[in-house]
Amino acid sequence: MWFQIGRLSCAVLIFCAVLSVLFGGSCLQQSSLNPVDPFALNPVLQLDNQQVERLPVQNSNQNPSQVAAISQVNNQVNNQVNNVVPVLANNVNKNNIANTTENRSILHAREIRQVTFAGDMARDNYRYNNYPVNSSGNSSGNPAANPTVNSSGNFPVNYQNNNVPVNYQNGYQNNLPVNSSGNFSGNSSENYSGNLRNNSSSELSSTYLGNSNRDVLQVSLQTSRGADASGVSGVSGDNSGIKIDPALNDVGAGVLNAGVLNNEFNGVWRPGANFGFWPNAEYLASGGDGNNGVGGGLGNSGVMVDRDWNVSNFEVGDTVAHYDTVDGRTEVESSNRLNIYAPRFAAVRKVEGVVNTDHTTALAEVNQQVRTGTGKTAEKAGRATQEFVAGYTRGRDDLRGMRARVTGAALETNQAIGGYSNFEGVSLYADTLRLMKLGSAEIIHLAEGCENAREWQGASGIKIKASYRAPMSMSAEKGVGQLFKIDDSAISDKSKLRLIKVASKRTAKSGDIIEFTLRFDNLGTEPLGNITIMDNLTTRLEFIQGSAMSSVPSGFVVESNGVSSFTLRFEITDPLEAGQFGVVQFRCRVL
Amino acid sequence: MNGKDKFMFRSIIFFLANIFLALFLVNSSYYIFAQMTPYTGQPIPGINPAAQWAGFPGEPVAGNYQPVKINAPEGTQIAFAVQNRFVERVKSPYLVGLLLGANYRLRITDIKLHPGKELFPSVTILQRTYPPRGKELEYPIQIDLTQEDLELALSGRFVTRVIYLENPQNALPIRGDLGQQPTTEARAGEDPLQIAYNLGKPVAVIQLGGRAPASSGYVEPFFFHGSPPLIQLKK
Repeated sequence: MWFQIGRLSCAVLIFCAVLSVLFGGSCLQQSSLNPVDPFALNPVLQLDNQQVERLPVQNSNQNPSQVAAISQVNNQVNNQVNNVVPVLANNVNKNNIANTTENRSILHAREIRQVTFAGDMARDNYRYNNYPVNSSGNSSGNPAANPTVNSSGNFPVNYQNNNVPVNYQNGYQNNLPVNSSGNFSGNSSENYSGNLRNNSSSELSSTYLGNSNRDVLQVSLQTSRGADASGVSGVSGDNSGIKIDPALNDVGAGVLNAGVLNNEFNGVWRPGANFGFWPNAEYLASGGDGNNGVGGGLGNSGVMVDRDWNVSNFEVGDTVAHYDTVDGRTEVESSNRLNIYAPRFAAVRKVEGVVNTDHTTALAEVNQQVRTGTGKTAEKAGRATQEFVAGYTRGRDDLRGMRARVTGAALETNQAIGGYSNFEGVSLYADTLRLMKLGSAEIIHLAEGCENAREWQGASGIKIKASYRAPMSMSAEKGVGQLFKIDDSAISDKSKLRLIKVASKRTAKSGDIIEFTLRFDNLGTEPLGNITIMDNLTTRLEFIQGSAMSSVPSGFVVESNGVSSFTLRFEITDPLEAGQFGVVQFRCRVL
Repeated sequence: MNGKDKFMFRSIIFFLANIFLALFLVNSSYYIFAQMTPYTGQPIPGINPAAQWAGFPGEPVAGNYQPVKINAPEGTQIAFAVQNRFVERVKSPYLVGLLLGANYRLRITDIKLHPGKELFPSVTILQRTYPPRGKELEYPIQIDLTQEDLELALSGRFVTRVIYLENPQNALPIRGDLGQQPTTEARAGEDPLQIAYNLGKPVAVIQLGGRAPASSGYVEPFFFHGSPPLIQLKK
């Protein structure tokens, strides 16, 4: 029997040893470094102004000469920035595109934040294979009309010379093919309608093209309002144009599915599912509405204002304006979101030390006489000394999370505002603020903060946002340029406010002063009343008293936001007529 | 004791020994597993803690030089270990590029009010930062050592400073450019790394006190953590 027990114990031992190896091994495996992702260390491409200026948006219905001209520009850009392939806008009605070789990205201010250089996304496209990428550049051209699309990325594409993006017709929504590395010799005049989803009934406008080899310029066109012809400069009376599918939401659903977004538009690296942090801890976000998705939030409920102008969901960092329309509605409009690089380092300190303590345990002396029949003895207790080692050191019990207020009181203060009619000094955004013309410099300045923040963050794919608002003006540079129009046949809203926020610095250290400028435009056809511009400052932005200015008569209120910071409120006194605008400005110190 | 009894006795001893051994193996593996829980502040003994932290899925891997600025009280001299010896001393502040995930040993001398005393802290960079292109040196990780830190270490205490990036959403509204780095004290029994994770994003750990090279002149190579390479960005 004992022999059997011995054998049994051996079996138990072996079993446990196996368990140990399995568990211990897996643990040790976890402790080893991850395989090095060769792409993770690649720098993110960054273009200078001229390079971005030359990045065109192409349109599918442009004639071959136009596309060829664009391709030349593309090639030039590619040579400069290592084969960055510019963006393709598909499904643009050619009637709406002026003939020009000076193709420029036409971006509304709200689109600026979507301009992202997202690193090796095309490589990710290829890796995840969720995207029809023609990576090798060996696709055979001259495909027949209505070819069969295969699964490996050799989608039917319409090629033009070298490095010409894929040309799609008839409003495909999904799986935009990519012409990766040029050298195609296809038939430029073919129109294809393979297995891609055809949404010709509602033409879409999107801009995207990847480059399978290197970086991809990812431009999102976000049309925040519909447009009628009268609201579009230079094309009065032209009702044809891009038609936005009303079903599209602001993350481009229907254009790219969630899987594509997750897999392919998340930048160079991203933290794992369980650990890791996005570097947004380094960027100070200001502006936008963090709750409604405009400012990068995920929720659906943004700032709300009731008829009594009670504001809700107005969170720290938000910048919004609310106004009243002629027909009695109170609307809310948020600004773009700025991301200013302003890291601040702090420390957690722990002081440890073992302290030897002489702990003396002294017994009371006992002098006990024991009387016996035969004699008596006197016993005396000794003195014992025992050393104890402290289990832990004496800890400091400092207050944690104590917030020291720097300035201001929690009172609402009405302050006089200085007249501000001359905003010539805002040279950084002069064209934007004065002419509402978004030149390349303004685009860069507006975009860079978002760009820097988003380079390392996720979910920035093609985004098309359609709203049912009023018209949107578009800007062009050097001639007619390209023009995007939005079919607003179903849109009746004639009240629309646009709010743009810019900052004087893109990086800041503690103690630096940043000047924020907000321009608000009445883009509708009717006057807007009771315009109130509100900015909820983060705790690291300290408002500088007396720095608020306005170009139009307004009141100015500073009040506590409940989290040791302030909310600034500009209350524009007079109604803002259609086509008019105003500028407000204030300064903050970065803490 | 007859032969049968001897056999029975040996079997019992063998059985008990196996049971103890089995319990030890299972328990040790569980212990390792428990220790691997990320960010508990309890890295596996004997394995580079930085490698453990930096090796979690999704974290940046080693290989980046991260600009780091070490601030010590005025007049303090700092020297990094290169090839197992301390080389050129540089007056504080010291701007240096350190490898992500590596341990560095440095020597601090010329401590105010303590002439002749030396300290040998260890620095580990846990995370890199992501400044805009071209701004890397302008925005290094900032490690501040106070006079109190140095004096505590000189008095035999072990001082750990976990440097973290404050979360802008809940940062304290205090001036960051005045006085010393905002510092939170970890109480006894608390893990400073865990606290830093709660408050923001830990990027570096510096520990000082408790270790000093032998006075005989010869210093064991392991004391220098292998002298990982660094880039001296500013003298």
